[in-house]
Amino acid sequence: MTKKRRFGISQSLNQGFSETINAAENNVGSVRFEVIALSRVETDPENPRDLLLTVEDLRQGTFKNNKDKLAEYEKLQSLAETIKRKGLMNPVVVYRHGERYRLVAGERRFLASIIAGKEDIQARILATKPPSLDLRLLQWIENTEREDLSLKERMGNVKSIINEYRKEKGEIELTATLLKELTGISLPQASCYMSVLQAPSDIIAAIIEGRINNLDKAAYIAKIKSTEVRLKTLKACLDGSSLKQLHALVESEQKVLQKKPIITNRKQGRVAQRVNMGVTNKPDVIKKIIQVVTQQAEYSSHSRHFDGVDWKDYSHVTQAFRKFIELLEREVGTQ
Amino acid sequence: MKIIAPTNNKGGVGKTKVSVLLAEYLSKVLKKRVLAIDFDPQCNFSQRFLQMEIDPASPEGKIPPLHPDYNPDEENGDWDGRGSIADIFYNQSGTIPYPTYIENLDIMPAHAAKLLEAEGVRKSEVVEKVHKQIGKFLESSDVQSAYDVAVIDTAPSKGPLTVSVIKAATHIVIPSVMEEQPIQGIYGMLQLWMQESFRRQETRPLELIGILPNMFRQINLHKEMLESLRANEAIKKYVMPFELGQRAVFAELDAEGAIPKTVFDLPDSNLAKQEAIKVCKYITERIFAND
Repeated sequence: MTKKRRFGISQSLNQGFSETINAAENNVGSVRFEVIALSRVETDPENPRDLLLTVEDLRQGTFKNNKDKLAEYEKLQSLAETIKRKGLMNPVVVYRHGERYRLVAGERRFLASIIAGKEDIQARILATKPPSLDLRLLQWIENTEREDLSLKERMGNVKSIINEYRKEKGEIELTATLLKELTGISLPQASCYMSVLQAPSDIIAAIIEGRINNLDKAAYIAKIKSTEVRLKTLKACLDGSSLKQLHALVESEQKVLQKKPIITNRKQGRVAQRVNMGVTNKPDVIKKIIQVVTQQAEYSSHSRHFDGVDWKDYSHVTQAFRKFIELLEREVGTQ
Repeated sequence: MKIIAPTNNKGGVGKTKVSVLLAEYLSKVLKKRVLAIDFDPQCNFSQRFLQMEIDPASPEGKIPPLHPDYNPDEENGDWDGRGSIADIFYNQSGTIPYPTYIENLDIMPAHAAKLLEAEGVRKSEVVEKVHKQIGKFLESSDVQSAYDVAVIDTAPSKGPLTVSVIKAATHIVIPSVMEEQPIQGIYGMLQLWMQESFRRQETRPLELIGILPNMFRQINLHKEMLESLRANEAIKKYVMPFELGQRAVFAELDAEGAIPKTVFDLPDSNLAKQEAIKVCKYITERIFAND
C-alpha cells in the first residue's frame, strides 16, 4: 500500500500568492506612470527652479547667448544622450493643471528629453498639486538618489524642507532627529546636515562656491571650535585632503594647543583658579574688544547682544562685558 | 458603466463559459443592458451568440456574419457589412454591435485575423495602439449611454489584448480548474492585477471579485487543491464560496440548435442552473455593490 498523497499548492506558489496580493492591496495607485506629450509639460511657475535654462530657451536657441544657461545646457547633454540611447530610467513626477501637466520633480530629465529630441515623456501623474511640504519631500526623495548634486544644492533642499516645515508647523526647533524623521536619512547624516547648516560663514562660502562637495568633511570642519584650527583644516580640505587626513591634522593641532604653555613663570602661593580681567576707566577699550571679537564669523551671532549698549555708561558697559565673557566662556569651554 | 472580464492565461479553464453565464444572467435575469465583447481570437464567445463564418483569407480564423442591418443594395461607403471589436484598432467607423436572442444583450464579435494582427504591433507602439484602445471605445459616450455592463471574454494569454482588457475593466474574475497548471495561471493573473492596481487611481480601482473554482469535480485532487488555496491567509478572501461543477449540460447548451439556449431557461430543479445562479448572483452583487 502506498501512502495516500495529499494534493496542494507548492510552498513557493503559496508565498507568491501572499506577496502578490499584499502588494496589490497596499499599493493601489502607487506607480501611475503614463506617457505624456512633452509639449503639454511645463515647469511650475509657483515653485523656485533649480535651473536658469527654460523650455523656451531650448526651443528658440536663446540659451546660446547666456554663459550660465549655456553651461547648464552642456551639463544636460550627457543626460540627454542617455535618454536618446536608453530612454528615461526614472519617470518624472507631474500634476494635472487644466489641459497641461506641471512638473513636481524631474526638471533636468524634462529639459534633457527635449534636448534629446523626444516627443513624449514617462511621468507619474498626481491628481492634484501636493502641499508644499510634501512637494519638497518628494523633490528631496527624487534628489537623494542623484550623484551629480552639489553640496550647495543638497543644503538648499534641506533648507527648503525646513522652511516649509516651519511654515506649516510654526517655529519649531529643528533637531537632527526631526530631520531624520522628515526625510528618512540616517541620524548621522541628519546631524551632519545640521552641523553644516550652522557652520561658520567661511565654510558656507566654500560650499556656495562649490569648493566643498563632501557633506562629511563640511560637517567635520564646521564642528571645529578653534578658529585657527578650523581655518587650517578648511584650507587642507580645499587642497584635497581626505577626511582621514583632516582628522589627523586636527588631532595634531589640538595636541599643539594643549602643550602650548600659557603662563610660564608661575609664582609661589595658592594656585590661581581664574583670570582677573582687570579694570579700566575707558569703556571704549571694552567696546573695542567686543567689536573685534564679534566681527569674527564664528562669534558674529553674538553681536546682537551688544546693539543696545550705552558705551558712555560705566555700569552698563560692565554688565555688557560680563555678558560677553559669559558667552565666550560657553563657546570656548566646550572645545 | 461596469466592465467585467473573466481572465486566466491558462486556456480551457472556462473563461468563455463564465462570460456566457454572466452575459445571460445580467441581461436575462437582471434585465441590465449588456454589451458582450469577444476579445479572444478563437471566437468561441461570439460563436455562442452568432453564426460565425469561416474566413476565406485565413482558413483557421473566423469572421463575423453579415450584420442584420446591412443592406448590400444601399450605399454603405467602405463598410463590407461585417463588424467586429477588432475594428477599434483600425479606426474604422461602423463598430456596430450585433443583436442576440436575448433582448438586452448585444455582442461585438471577435475577428480572428484582425485581432491577431492588432496584437502584432511593434513593442514601442503597443501602449498607444493596443493597451488603450478597448478603454477608449468603452469610454465613448455612445457605448456609455447604451449599456449598463460590458462582459469581455479574453484570450488565454497575458499579451497586449488581455492587458488592454485589464486596463479597461472595473472588475475581474479568475476562473480556474483546481489543478496545478491552471493555478499557476491564477498567479500570472494576480501579477497582472497587481501591476494594474499600482497604476490605477485610487478612485478607480480594479476590483478582483475572486477566483472561481470551475469544472469542479468531487475528487481528492480538486478538493485538496481548493482547500490548500483557502488555507493561504492572503488569498482565501478571494476564493469564491461557490464552485461551478463539471457538467455535460454546459457543453450541450453550446451545441448548435440546442433547446433551451441558455442554462437559465432550464427548470429550477436543474443543478447546473442552481449553481450558475449562485455564482452569477455572487459576482453581480459585487459588481453593483456600490450602486
